[in-house]
Amino acid sequence: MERFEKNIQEKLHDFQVQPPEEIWGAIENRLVHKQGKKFLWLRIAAAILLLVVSITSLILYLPFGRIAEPMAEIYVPEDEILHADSEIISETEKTETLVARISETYTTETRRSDFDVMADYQGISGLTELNPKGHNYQLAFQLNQEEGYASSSLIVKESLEAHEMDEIRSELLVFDAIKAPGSAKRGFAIAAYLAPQQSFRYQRNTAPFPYEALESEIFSFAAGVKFQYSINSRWEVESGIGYNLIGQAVNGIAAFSHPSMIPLYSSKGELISSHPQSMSTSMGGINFKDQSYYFADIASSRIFALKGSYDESNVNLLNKSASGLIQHFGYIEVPLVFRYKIIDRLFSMSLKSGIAANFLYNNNVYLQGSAYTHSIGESTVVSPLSWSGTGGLSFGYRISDRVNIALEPTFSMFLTPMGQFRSLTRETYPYNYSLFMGIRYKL
Amino acid sequence: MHFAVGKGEIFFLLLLIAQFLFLVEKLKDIVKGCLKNDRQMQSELYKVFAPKMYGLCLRYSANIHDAQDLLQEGFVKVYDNLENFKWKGSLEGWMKRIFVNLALDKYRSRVSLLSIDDVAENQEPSDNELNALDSISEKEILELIRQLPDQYRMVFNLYVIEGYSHKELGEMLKIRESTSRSNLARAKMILKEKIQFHSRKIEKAICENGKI
Repeated sequence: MERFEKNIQEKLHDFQVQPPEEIWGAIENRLVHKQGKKFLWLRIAAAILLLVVSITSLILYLPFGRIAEPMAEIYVPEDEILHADSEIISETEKTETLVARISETYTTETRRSDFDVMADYQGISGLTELNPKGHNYQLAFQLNQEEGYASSSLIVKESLEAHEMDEIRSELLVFDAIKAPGSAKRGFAIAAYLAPQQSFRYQRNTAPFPYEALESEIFSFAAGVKFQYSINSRWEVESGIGYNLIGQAVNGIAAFSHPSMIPLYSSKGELISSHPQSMSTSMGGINFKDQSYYFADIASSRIFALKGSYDESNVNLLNKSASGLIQHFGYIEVPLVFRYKIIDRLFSMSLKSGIAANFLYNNNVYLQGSAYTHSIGESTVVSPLSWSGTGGLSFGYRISDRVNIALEPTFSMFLTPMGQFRSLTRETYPYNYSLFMGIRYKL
Repeated sequence: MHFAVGKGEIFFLLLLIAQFLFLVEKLKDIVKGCLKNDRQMQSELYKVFAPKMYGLCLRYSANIHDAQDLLQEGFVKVYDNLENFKWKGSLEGWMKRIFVNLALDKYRSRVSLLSIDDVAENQEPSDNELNALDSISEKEILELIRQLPDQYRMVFNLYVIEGYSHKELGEMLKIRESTSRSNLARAKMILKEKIQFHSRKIEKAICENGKI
């Protein structure tokens, strides 16, 4: 190697320059972002796995799936019973046969218990009247305790015109629908929901954050689809996939940019921050994407000035009439929820409770002015997976045999802190008050 | 031959060894932390190596903006690949290779189809030229290297500073060995001219003001 080369090699081989401070911030941002991406396939895989496991366990391992409910008895006055018989087939299977004369009109008012039982089996709400013409015939009910169905047969005791026979037959055809085993009890349903909600957070054992007093709840939403499985007439279990948007507002924060990216000083002359700008909130740190931005807390005394030559002409206030920042976290939610029916008629009411895995899907911080919303970056150190618990009431209305609508006031809260590192962020548990509005279709 | 080694010197030597071992252990801890995705440790690793790597990035880039981009990408790549580093050889050398390869990738992705004339290799520089080189700082040389055309800069860096051969350079840059040679010669010529020009400027300043 010639001398010229050697000389330059010696000068430059171990040449060091301190890079600008903001570079690390940018690298850190990339790492956080990358981590999010790295976990994406994991999140999807976990969600699918949870879904598959919960549905297969529903189908295969439900302990109560095979135990029949004790069958309600049909009340028929004794003088009308022509024949009653019961045959025990196995430990859980019993067939009861009851042949009764039905010579008067029974309506839900007069013979409530009979019709309710039949209506229950069929899942047909329209069955309120039997033998409206008051013909004198016999009807045999066959009740199968194991399969939970009843069937009927007709024994005609008086001579009838052909059209009268047809009328009775068509009436009884309704009854024959009873034969569908367990139609009202076990079975799947699919549901979709949309839930407006109020979202905020609860903090445990934390020293106050500088911006804590400025934080407040936000209005957001959740939406998704669910599969439900009716275990018996009381219990239901459901799982599915949903999107749950939560977060908080940090009020009274203005943002402005200054082209020279010089450090910020307080009015007392203390160094507040150098670039890149970031701030800590109870829901993680906020990093500005555009590193020429500054924050200013306009509500308190923390109004930042630029030291010495405060060149106002160069300061570009982004939101002078600002309401503040919004931290949004979009989670993909995979719940497992149990429901217990208290009332199950045209109007229904049930209790629900369960847990959910929440996979962080997107994470955004917005600057909100009076006339615009501007995406400025994301919150950092947020855990990619959190668990939450949920509970609430459900009020339903049956539109048809298959379709239900429901309103469900629900409270849900994270069970694990949302921060990625417990030591770095305080233990923050987001919670929601939601009003689920759902429609359900029985398969 | 006889060496007289005093107690103080042994103590000093031991201290140096201890310090070295301590640094190696600390570095190992930092790497372990990085592998666990510990942001604090990632930041430590950055602090240790950023100045050297930034120096390297500046050498390979046409402007500061590109150098900072390269620095960011390089570190992200380092964290991604740290698990492949098996402590054979120095961590710094391994990191440098990552940065150089990344610079190469970037160069290849934007390689311009400039036809560069073959130039005869230059003569050994005169004493004048070498004196001129002494009078300019690393930063100034760096600035001059940055002004070189992309391909010349790559060849110059890889050959002169990283010490690759023309054959290796031919494979890395997908050029003929002879092209690599002529690029280097041309790069050196440009640099020398610029250095001369630079030193003349300084001389002129001395003549005019009596001092720099």
